[in-house]
Amino acid sequence: MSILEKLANGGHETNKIENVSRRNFIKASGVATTGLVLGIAIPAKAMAFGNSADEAAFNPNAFIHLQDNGDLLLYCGRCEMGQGISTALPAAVADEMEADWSRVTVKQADGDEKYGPQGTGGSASIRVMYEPMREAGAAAKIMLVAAAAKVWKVSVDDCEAKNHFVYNKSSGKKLSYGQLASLAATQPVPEKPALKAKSEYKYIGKALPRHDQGQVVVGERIYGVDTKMPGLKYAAITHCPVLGGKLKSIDKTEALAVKGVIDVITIDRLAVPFGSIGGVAVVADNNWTAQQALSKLKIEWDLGENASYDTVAY
Amino acid sequence: MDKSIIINGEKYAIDVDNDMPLLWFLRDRLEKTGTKFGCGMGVCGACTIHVDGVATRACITPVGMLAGKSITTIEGLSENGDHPLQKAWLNNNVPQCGYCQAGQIMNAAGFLATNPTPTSDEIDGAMQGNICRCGTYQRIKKAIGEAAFELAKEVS
Repeated sequence: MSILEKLANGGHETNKIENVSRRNFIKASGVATTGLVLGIAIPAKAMAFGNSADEAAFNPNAFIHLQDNGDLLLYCGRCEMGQGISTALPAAVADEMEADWSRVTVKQADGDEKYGPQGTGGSASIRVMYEPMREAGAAAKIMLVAAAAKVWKVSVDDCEAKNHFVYNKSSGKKLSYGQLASLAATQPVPEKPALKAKSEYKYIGKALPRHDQGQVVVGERIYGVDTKMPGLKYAAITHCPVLGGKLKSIDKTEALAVKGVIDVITIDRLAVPFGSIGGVAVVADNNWTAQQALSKLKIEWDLGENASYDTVAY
Repeated sequence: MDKSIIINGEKYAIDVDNDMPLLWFLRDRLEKTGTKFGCGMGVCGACTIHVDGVATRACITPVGMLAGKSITTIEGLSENGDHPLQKAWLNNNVPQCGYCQAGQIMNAAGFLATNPTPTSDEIDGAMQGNICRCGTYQRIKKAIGEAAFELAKEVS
């Protein structure tokens, strides 16, 4: 089924929400186990670049975690790159959950496969995840209300969720989401939680302060290029100036003689979609050295069948 | 000769090739990644830092030339991220992807230090070397104006 067909169907039939607060795999996967944890399984085939749908097993690729202190964390496999997804998805959750926006944080998934395919593109994140996130938020709210009703020994109809609290409509008493989190985790997950009407939205479609701006203005937001790992090396790369060409000969001597250079590696062309166009990489203990040594390589390219191609003439 | 450099108030030995641009000394040697690599040719402004208070492109400034100098990076612009520019940046939700914004803020901070009451044209002139691919220029300009207003209040 294509994404569009799926959207036409409301995206319902294959999304799944499950209470994973007490599942062992959650413990093993490092998502904390106190409070309420809902896992949301969105089929891989609905994802932008997903290719391994496993419908039988419940493999959540997003988690909502309401902690006992009331903090609401959303672990999500979509990558923030300025499009605002780390604000838009929590807004969808928080709105349906009647959560306090200031208590919601998105944690970027760390690349582990438990979060499912994490490719982000094709403007698919909201299209695919908007409804599942809202449904999960609504489910969490229903479970919190059920927990409060249990505490007060009243009907759920006498309870109302509002801004991170559940209120007892007749007595006026209230319980915070944090207080209710662990008890809510023992309540059944509603199969088809009702969603709010557009006119009731508090956060969706509204201008909200972005979660990551505070990190940006002090230089703490980590981009791909900022990633550090133990023993990390740095590479500078050069490609054949003509698409489809390949390496003919290379003299690495001078580049290898530069202090700090670890290796010079030739990379074959991989003629597959998104495959490598091939080239030569200098690996060093810092970027500067790699770039300097790259200019010392003596390379002869076989320009291949496009050698005579001329943009201007064309 | 023992050469050292002060970065955000702390002293570091310059223990790399003198020709290495400050950008890579910061990012790879000291692992301070707030300062960004954009073009490597001093034309985009993403790597802007201060050398003795003056906005400078770190990607084309050899670290060996900076012995004894005092460097400020985005991580050291203020104690608690509360420089008037940082506050104005948040107020105006300036960053989109955010990659160029450390350079934008550092360039603006250097500029306001020399011209605390800039005109609209002066802001444009001072910021023209800082490129933002997301196109957040309108918000950047608004935030600089707001910060200048706040700084003026602090001074008076």
